[in-house]
Amino acid sequence: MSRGKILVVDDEPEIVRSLQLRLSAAGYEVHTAMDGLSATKKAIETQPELILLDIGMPAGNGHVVVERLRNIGETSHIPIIYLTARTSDEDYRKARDGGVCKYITKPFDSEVLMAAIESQIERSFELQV
Amino acid sequence: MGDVKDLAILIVDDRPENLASMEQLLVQDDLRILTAESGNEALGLMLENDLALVLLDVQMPGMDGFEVAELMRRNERTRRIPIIFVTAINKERRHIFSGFEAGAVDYMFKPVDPFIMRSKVQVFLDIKRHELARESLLLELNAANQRLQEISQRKSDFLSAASHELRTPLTIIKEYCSLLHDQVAGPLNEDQHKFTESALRNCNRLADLVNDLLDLDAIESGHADFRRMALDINTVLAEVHEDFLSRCESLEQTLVLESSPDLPPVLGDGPKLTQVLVNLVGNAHKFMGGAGTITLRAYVQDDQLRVEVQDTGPGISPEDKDRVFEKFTQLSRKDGPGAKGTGLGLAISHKIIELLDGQLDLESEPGRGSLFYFSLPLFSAARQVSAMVADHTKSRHNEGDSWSLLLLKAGGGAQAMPEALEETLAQVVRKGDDLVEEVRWGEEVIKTVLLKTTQDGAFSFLARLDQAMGEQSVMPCRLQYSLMEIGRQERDQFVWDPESLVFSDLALTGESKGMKHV
Repeated sequence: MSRGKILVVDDEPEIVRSLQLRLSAAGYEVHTAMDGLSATKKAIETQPELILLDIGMPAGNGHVVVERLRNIGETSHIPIIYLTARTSDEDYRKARDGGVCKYITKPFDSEVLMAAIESQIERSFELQV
Repeated sequence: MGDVKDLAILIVDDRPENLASMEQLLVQDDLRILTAESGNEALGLMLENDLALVLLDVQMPGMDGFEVAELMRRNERTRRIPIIFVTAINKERRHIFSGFEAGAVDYMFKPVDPFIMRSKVQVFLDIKRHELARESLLLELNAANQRLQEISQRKSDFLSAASHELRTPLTIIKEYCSLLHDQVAGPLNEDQHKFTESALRNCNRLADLVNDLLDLDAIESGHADFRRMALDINTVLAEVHEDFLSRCESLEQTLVLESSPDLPPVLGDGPKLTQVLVNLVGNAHKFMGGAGTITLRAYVQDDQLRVEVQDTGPGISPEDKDRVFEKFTQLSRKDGPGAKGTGLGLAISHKIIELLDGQLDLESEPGRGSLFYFSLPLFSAARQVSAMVADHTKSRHNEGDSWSLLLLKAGGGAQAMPEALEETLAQVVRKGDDLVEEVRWGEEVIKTVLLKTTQDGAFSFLARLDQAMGEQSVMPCRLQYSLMEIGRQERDQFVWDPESLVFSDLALTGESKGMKHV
């Protein structure tokens, strides 16, 4: 029984793979995408409880993906955590404006990341009940 | 003198033989001598040439010398050219030219003494030479400044790109180490566990270094985002205290917080002060190595708030004391592994406190612990606004001449700032150019908008604001504004005086209500 569905989006294959390993080991069902466009498609298809999203990516960066998802009925509610190497004020502001629930910078602490994921998924399950 | 420009003077006389003899008298190598036989011709030459001096005959048919001077005074391009009147009479008319800059007007009486004439002209030529040299130096200086700013910007861009490129592989290394360490790939023996722990610790160190480098660069190049406002230092102290409590306990260190709940607010930037205190307490924690006491202390002293971090650690020798705030200083220690920092923490902290108008310093003796301390200005609305102007205008390397400071408040005393205004401001304010802050001034809350524009530009901002408020179709409210322009010279030293403020009504109604602001 899965603890919840998570969509991992990053254009760096090794990051996608390592996150997939960790999240699967923790009991989550993991879907992946490596660019902005397929991220949007996968989000609609799989209806995840949470999206881990990189910002700097081809075919629509993270901010663009967030905007698209917010404008689509089936995905507008999905909580998003940014996982990014970018740290500019501009990025922080866009994250806030887009309603991104957490901004985690790379390199991240796996404990911090897992705690953020857990609390977010718990919250979305509570809302569904 | 280093200038290559020719010096030029103009001799004006209606008689060609006078012009010839004067030219003869004044001829020298690097001097261009222009001549004119009438006032009109002279004025034309003055506009075309950069003159060191005009020798002006007073008695001329048509326009006389004084009339020429009068016309020169009215034109921006000729009013600063020095004049020597050459005259036989009319001494009583000198007072007419009292409006000229001192020393710019002189008189020679006919017949002219060649020696005196030459030395007088020489004085004006020397002045002009100095002026030209100064101008060219100034140009060079500006060009050099411009180049330095470009280089500094390129360095920041490079650092930022490099750090971004470093982060991704570092993330991958760290995550795989972490997966091994967490035994996701299978159980580890004791040695393997230790090894992955060590690898992880150094990944963190590298990550800290990347962050610190970016931080320091942002602060040094003036790009760091400082938001100074009224701040209760106790919230910062409590946060830091809580952060370190369990870490200190694990090393049998006592972390004491000595503060009073009724401390006045300071003018500070919360996240930046937290960063400094985390660094100072972190250093104390790390370098004590084992048991001891760390004290976090805050109290008012001489109209300032003094904050101290004291430890009972090994202390710092006098020769090391001068170096601790330098970059990449790692003091000699006998500590084991784990007690390594990036060598940038204190340099960053020192810079941050400096930008908050304080100074970070220390008292220490080997074997008797260290005391790091700094003072911060207490909060006042005037200080906050002045600091905002200084922080924001300084952080942009712009040549723009003017900024405007616009203050908005809801009329009628303590009335809350309407939410609609908040939203509208967010819409109207342009990215990067304008800054909105909130200032608590007694009972009132004032919105301050710092605009990168002149006063005229600020009025068009007000018009946009008015229109946008109208589109929101909200209840009209009484909104007042006060506007001031901040010139380039005033920016660094800007001091805001709330006593001198005059607020005017801005009838926020929009077109729907058919009213306009006055």
